[in-house]
Amino acid sequence: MKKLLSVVLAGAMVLSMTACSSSEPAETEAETEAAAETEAVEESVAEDVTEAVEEDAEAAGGDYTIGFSPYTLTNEYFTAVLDGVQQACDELGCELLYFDPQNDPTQQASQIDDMIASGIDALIYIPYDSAGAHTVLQTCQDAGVKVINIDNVVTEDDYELVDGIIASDNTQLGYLSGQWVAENHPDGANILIAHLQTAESCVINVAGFWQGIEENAENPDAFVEVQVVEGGGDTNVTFNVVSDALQAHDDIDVIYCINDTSALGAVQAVEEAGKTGEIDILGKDGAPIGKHAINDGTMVQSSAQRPTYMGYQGVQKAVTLLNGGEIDFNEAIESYSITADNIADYDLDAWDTLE
Amino acid sequence: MENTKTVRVPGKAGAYFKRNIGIIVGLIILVAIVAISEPKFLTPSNILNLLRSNAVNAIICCGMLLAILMGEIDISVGSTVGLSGVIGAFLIANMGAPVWVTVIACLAVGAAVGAVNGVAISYLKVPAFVATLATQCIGRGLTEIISGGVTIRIRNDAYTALGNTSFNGVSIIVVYAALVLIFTWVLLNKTRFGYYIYALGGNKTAAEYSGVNVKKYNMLPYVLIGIFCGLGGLIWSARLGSAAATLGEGFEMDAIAAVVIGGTSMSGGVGTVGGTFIGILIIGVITNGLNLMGINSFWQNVFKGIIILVAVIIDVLRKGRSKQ
Amino acid sequence: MGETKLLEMSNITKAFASNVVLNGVNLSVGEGEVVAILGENGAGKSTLIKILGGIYKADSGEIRIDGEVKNISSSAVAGANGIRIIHQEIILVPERTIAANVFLGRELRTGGLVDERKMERETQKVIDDLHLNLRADQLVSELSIGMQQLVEIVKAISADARIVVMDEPTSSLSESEVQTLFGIIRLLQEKKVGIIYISHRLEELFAITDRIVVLRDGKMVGDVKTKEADRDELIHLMVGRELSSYYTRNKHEIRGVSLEVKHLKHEKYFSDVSFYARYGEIVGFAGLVGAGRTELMKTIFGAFPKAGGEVFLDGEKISIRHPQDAIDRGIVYVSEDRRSEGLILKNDVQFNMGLVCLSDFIKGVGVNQTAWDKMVEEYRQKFHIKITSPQQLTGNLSGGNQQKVVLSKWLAKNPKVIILDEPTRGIDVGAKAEIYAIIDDLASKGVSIIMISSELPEIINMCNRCYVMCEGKITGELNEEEFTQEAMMTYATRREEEK
Repeated sequence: MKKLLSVVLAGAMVLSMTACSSSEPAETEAETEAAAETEAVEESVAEDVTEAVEEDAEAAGGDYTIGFSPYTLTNEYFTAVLDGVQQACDELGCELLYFDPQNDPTQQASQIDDMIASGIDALIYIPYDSAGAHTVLQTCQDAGVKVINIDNVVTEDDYELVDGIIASDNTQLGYLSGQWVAENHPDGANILIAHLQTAESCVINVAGFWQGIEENAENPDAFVEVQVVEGGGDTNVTFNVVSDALQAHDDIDVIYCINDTSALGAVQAVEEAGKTGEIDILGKDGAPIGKHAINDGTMVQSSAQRPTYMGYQGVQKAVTLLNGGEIDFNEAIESYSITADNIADYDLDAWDTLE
Repeated sequence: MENTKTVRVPGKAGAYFKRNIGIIVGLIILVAIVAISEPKFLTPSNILNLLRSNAVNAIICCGMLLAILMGEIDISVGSTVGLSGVIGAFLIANMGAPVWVTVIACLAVGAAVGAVNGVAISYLKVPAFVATLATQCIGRGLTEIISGGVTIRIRNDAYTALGNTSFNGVSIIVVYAALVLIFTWVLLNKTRFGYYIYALGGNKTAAEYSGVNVKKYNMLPYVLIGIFCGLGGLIWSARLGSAAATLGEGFEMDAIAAVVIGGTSMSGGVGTVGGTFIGILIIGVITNGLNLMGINSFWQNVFKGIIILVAVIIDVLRKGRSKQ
Repeated sequence: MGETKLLEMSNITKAFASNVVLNGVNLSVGEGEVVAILGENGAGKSTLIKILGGIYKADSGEIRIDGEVKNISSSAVAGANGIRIIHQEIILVPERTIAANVFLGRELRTGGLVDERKMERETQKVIDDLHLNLRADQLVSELSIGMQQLVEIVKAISADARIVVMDEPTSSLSESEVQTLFGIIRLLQEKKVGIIYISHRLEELFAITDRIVVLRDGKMVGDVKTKEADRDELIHLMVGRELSSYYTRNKHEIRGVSLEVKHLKHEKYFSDVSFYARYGEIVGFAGLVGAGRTELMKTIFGAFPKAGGEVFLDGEKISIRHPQDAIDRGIVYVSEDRRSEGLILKNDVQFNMGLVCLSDFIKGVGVNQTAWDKMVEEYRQKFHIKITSPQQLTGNLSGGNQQKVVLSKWLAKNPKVIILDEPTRGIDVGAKAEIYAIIDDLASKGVSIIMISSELPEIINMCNRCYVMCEGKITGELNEEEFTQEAMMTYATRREEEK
């Protein structure tokens, strides 16, 4: 009996281990088996299909298979991108194939190899490591796969290997927040930055934030950076570091967080310190949690990213290219500022909408 | 005859200081350095803040101490915190469960993970590292599945009050941590359960031959560790009013670090709650002090690493000396 | 004097803090000479050996080899001077072959790669020279403890050895293995190797050594030729007092049968074993190492699973599946391996003594410290346990004191049947006599005692009755009046002819 139990448990563990080490393909169709079959078929005739499809270009997106590779799918930002990708595929009648790279660039690369092998026609690509995307892009080009690079832009050297770029304007995202601070604190402010210093986009956000202050404040020198803390973009880490920073400085007026997730930690830290209402907390992304916080009055501003729109646009562009059409090579997505004044205009529970 | 070193004597403040003199001096030096470079460090509000920030780590350390005392380890603690926190948030926010149900569910989730660990390690002889690596994986995966990768917001004041109430400035979670520390101290020093943990960590065969039910007493501590983690998840989700799939990531490392700095031997059988408490404070002072000084968090990892190494080297040297 | 000795240690003094461990000790060993060092634990034997081995540095005095003063500053220097020390504990890597162990750290290489074949050949040569029944490619873990001890010896002498120190080499050897060891020593003698032999067993010293040096409290109190030595005189020198009688043995009333075992079987170690023990009786179990005696007792105790057979206590059939079942019924087992099965060395005396009957001191939450202290103090006085405080770590105690702590732990439970497995192994003479007195006292109180021993004199002098085991079977049962070493050895080597 014991032996049997041990075998079963060991078996279960092995299974779960493999399940969490190797990423499982997450199929969009409910019928995974059916999908697997389709894949198998496609694989065997991959090349013929691609050729056939290219000739058939003017028809709708009907027979295309679109691959999608984000950083991870356990982060709601990327699931919002996926929503847009999914919606575009549904509208255009494309097959969608995606995996979860779990924030690991090596996994991402091998998963893209797998997707190419299963015959994707275009790839919607968010490279985890933008500087290390070269080989992946080269492989795609060799295989004749169109690449639409979204969100995290590849290095300029690799521009020739991608077919289109769509990204948020990180400077503008920060700029909108800076502008808000300049307009609402005419006499200046002491500012705490809850950073994610390892992400280049966040470095640009923060630079844009200061630019927004400088260009909109009457007296930019009155705005002082009190401290930069590393919140890792994470709620409980930000909570701890902001708590400590509030101990070190009792004159903070504004906390700028590089995303809404970390802003949530700052909100709690300020509340614990008994300074609710005294300190303005700004986030970034316009995530549902951020919108709720603005609605509740715990946050004052968040510059919206548009992940769903970005994903949607990515597929649209890819299909246009596959159909032989022309696109803008590099499209920057306009951001907008969400504040208490306009929060009523937005759906609190969705990330962004497609109009 | 000079070998009168005592490993564990219950009570007595003098003995406590003597036994932990190394780390106590270390802590004092650390506090002095931080206090001199950043006067705000020693303000009452920062000390309360420091205690509060390390409260959950303290609770998890109590669990980790049990595992390491048995000569084993539990690296699933972080993911168990995440799992119970997310399940708690899910129940209260998405299912509209009552607070008491949610509280019990959080603790039960922890206990269940602990029971799986305990059965695998004690009855099925899976090495602790491997068993808890597996449950860590499973737990983190389930956390992501349940949360759907989305931060779950909790808007239930009764629930968030569980993490946000304070008494004269002392946060309720400091009270939780103090209760867990006292509980663990009593368990290890005043009950047979505790003596058996020391016995089977020191020499499992001798304990078994002395009539200790080693399987049972090897398994039960893991359930307790799980419950502590469940409490940790409950506290974090209540405190932040939200729970994300990343909750608890890396918690095991801080816990192991504090327990080891506190003089617990990785080979088992030697270690105290008192020493662990100082270990927690050392880790806490490093983090808080460097944050106050505005030093980049990446350096904190470097300092933590160095201090763990120094603590273990001192321990090894001390053992070597007492051996002659 | 006059001529140059192989090894001369003169006027060696060593103190740890204020504690003088060695005080002007002289020791010389000639080529091909076997010198015994005799002394109670704590007399300074091991410190002297550690100085020779380069582990400790003497505070004063000098070491000469072939008349030349050597500064033996580390164990590497000692090795380079041909000094080999065979420690009491076995330090081998179990899951490696004998050859790999013998050449550990000085592997033979051919073209930069380790040459396993060559090492095995070389090792086999040494093994054959010593007439040992071993194969160089056997895994160490497959060998009995006694054989492993012999591998340690092979390892020590396979490199060029000039001075070999053997620290209690026979503590885990059976009689026949001891004879093998003596053969090895004689071979080494022929090769002009000097041997320092440390043992508590006087019989062995008389059998193999040329000269006996006696240490007491860090001083040399005797240096006698073995041929001229007298047993009682040696004991007197060693303990500084007369041991009125080494063995304590009084006549006790033997009452009814306590434990009875019928057709007990184990998958691997023994088959169809039946025996009984009675209250007030000391039953011996003689046999060679590996005869299955320890395994038999561990099976009765519930530590090993039985494959068949029945166990009765007071005529009632009992089922024992775990040690705690046995303990609950009053059957206790005192392991031969104090350090790894008897004590928790990292913990203190009080902890270890209280472990078995912890429920007497801790009920629910809260420790009854007074009762516990009283129990420790009672046994400390009763057994003359030398400890500085109840909080002293058991790992730091001498073998004799450790054994007394283990016995206290069990006796606090008031057992009906106590199984002693090699109760005096590795214990000095003075403490041995005390342990014998304790055993005798227990028997007088009506406790049923089962004693495994590989020292035949111990069985002959202590037991009322004895069983002899060989290869997992009981091959003989002897009553007190039939006890002779010859009879026991005959049974111990009687292999069944069937197969």
